Amino acid sequence: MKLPKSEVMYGTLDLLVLKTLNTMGPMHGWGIAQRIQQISEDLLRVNQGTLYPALLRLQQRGWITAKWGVSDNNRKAKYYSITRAGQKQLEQEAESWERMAALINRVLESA
Amino acid sequence: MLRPYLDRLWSLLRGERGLDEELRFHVEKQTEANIAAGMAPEEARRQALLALGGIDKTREECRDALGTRLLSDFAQDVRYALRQMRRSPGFTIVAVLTLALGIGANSGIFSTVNAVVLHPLPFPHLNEIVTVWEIAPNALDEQARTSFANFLDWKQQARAFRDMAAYRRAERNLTGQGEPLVLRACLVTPEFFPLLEGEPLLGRKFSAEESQRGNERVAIISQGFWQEHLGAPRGVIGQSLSLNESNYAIIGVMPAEFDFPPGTQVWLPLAPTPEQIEQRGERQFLVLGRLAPGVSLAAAGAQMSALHARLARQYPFYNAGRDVRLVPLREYVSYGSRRFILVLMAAAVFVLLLACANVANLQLARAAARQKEIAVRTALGAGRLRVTRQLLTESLVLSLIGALVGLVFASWMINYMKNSVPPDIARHVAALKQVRINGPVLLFTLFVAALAAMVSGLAAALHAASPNLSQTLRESSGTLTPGSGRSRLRSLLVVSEVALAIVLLIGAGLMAKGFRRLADTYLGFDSSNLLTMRVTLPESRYREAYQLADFFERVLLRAQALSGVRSAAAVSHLPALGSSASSTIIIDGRPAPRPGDHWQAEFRYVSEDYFRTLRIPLLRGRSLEAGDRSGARRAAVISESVARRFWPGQNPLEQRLRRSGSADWFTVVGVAADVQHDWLQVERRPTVYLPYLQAPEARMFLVLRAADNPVRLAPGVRAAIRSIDPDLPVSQVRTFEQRLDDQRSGIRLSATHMMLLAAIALVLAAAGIYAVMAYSVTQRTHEIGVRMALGASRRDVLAMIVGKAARLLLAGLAVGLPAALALAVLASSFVFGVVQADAATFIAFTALLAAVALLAAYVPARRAARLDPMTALRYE
Repeated sequence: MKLPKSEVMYGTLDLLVLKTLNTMGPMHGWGIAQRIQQISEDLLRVNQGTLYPALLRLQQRGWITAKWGVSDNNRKAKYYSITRAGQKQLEQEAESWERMAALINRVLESA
Repeated sequence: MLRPYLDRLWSLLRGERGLDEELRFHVEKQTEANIAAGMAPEEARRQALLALGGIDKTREECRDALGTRLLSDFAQDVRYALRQMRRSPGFTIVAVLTLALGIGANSGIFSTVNAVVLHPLPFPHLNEIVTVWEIAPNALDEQARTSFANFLDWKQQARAFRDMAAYRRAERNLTGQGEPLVLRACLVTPEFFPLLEGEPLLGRKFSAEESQRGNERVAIISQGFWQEHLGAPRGVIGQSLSLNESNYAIIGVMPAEFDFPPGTQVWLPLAPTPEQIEQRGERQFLVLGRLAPGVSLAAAGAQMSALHARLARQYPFYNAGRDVRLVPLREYVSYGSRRFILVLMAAAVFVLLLACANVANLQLARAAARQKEIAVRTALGAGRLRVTRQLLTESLVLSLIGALVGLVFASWMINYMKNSVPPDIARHVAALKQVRINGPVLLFTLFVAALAAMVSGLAAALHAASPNLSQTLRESSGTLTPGSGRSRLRSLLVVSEVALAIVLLIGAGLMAKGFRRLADTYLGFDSSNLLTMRVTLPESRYREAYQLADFFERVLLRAQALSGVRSAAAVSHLPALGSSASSTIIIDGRPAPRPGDHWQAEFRYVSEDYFRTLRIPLLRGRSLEAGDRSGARRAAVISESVARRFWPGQNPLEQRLRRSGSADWFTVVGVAADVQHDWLQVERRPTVYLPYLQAPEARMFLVLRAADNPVRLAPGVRAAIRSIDPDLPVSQVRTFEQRLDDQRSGIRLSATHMMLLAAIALVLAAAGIYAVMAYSVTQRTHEIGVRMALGASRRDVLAMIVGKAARLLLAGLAVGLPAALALAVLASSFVFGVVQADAATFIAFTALLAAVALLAAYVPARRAARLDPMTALRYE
């Protein structure tokens, strides 16, 4: 399946979702969108729609699970929570980002 | 670990409703937030939707992730296809009808294949049941019965079989229930029903004791007989039937599905007499066997051959030189018809290919017209795969609609077939009643429709999806030659259509000719204006030989006296219908035949007017006379081939011979011309005619020659018989021609079906050529205008177009004629020599196809020749 051009973006989005769920606990789709918008203003203001396919993908990979529940204003909503596998994935991603950042820093400083 | 898969499955099952709800929730929350931030309600909602960025795209991407994308795409394609079809009704109707013809023909014939060839009998484990034949390499009968003694030995010693049973068909006179009736009976050993796993509807099966002489007066009747002749009384068990003047107690009723041997009305225990058990040479019984678990047919066959070889060494006189052959019951039951049915199936496949070629052509033409539309869609982002998928879906929708219409055609075909088979024949073809459109046939139709869609749509789909976007968009018209690849493909399709059509036409022509040849064959006697009927004298009242002889003598005398009767005769077996009663001949003065020497001849017991009634020419000596009766010297008339075989170049008159198993010597007094044994195969068997007065039989046929219209004699003859014996039923009252017709009905039906298929093929091929030529003319209109402007005359244009068609025709014939020849040679052995390659047929049908094809090309060619050059030049 061809991935749209925002492939790089997907990776970042996945990370943000996992981090959000890890920090904030179970949330519904809109809540996650709000939180991520707070963190990365430019990224998601344009298209909240990319969130839902991402949530589906994360579900298929087994990093988050979903359950239907009742929201604070008594409406039906789907709540997502991170799994153990998801937490491990988060740690791994965080590590690799840090290593990458450290490497780039070294390159920039050396010259 | 399983969670993600379950989630996925659950999402799939919930469908998209969950997603819609989620998105709705999201929009509402965002709207609330916007209102809280100070926007007006409508603006708030609008901004919320905008922020979500296109619900449809979101939905699509989710679908992609979910994998339900394919399904929703398919639904969309189907809707689109239906719209397109509505827009071009002409194309749709022609395509659907063409496919309907092709698919319908296949469905119709497949339902026959399914019932008669694949599932002729409803026995569980049908694959394990075989018929065991005893054959002799140069004996007269291919299908061989065996003797009871051999059967017992086989049963005891064969380890390859779980069990074996023997049976013999017979007739029994039913009296005491109104009109006397002749029932189709079958004598069976006690293993018969358990072997076939047949459970009675009422009552029980035979027990082992009941096959001992003395205990065998019990009967099991068929459901049909129980319902039609007895009125289906619940208390039928224990009721008594008078069969051949003996009382039998009904102990069971078999359900209608247990139709084996086909047409049986009553089963009786086979209780062999001591002579029957001893006489190893009297071969009257057919044997069924059930293979032991895990034993293959080949292994069983080898084992039985070895076993029979042992028996041959033990009893060389009877068994030497004979072998055993196993034929699966499924094949045995449809033996004659299955080959013709399979040939028809092959023909139907040809017709389908033709139909697909036509529809492919139509779709190619249409795809050319839709090039712009497809190019635009591709430019807008539809992938090549998607476009191809969509075109194939269109093809599939056409096929499925065609399949539905085709099923209607198929059901007409099935009804026609079932009504054309005479009831006497239909009774004996297992499962003919089961031919209908049922589950397997529907599945098959679906499969064929899918295949047809693939075949007919692939060419167009692949071509349409070819890259060359900008060129297509820019191309305003086919000013020069249109896509040459596509026109080559079209030509190829026409060539293959011509090839297919000629094969079918020649095949049908050969079959029709073969059938007519069979129908016209001189059988050795005059079969017109003959009335026949069967009379069986019950043992209880006609025990002595003189009683039998006396009865027939009196009947014949009375019959002769009837008005309209030219002559009357009696015979034990009617000629030319394939019935066989053969035995070994022993010649006086010659050493007894060695084991392996098969001196076999058909034996017939006849009255003195037999040769005169049937108009069989007498070649030497005299015919049998009234004086050849008991007390006088025993006389016999032999057929030509007997004389040639045993007394070549000598005078056979006054020689003596006897039938093996009998001690009476007969003296040859005359030689008669040979008679064809079987209407299907040209074979004249050696026959010995003995006077019934000197060797009476209980079962005889009466044959009467009428001045004209033999049917009118029937009431008179029945009355004559009734006046001698009122309790005697008469069966099978039919004219000889009717009997021959009945036996030929199978081939006649096949030939008719073949001609129908060939006619469809001719129409399809003609339509195909016409369409391609017409299209080609349209495409080349501009070019034609140029040519005409440059000086080409009308005739030149005509010649050009027709010339192209002729070239395609020749190419098709070049492929098709050799194929037709090869297939004819193959078929002739496959269908018992009915089809024989013959030059006249080849030439005639080639000429027919050529004429039709050129005519089909002529119409658009004439249109092209009539073009006004100025209009043509301006045509774009």
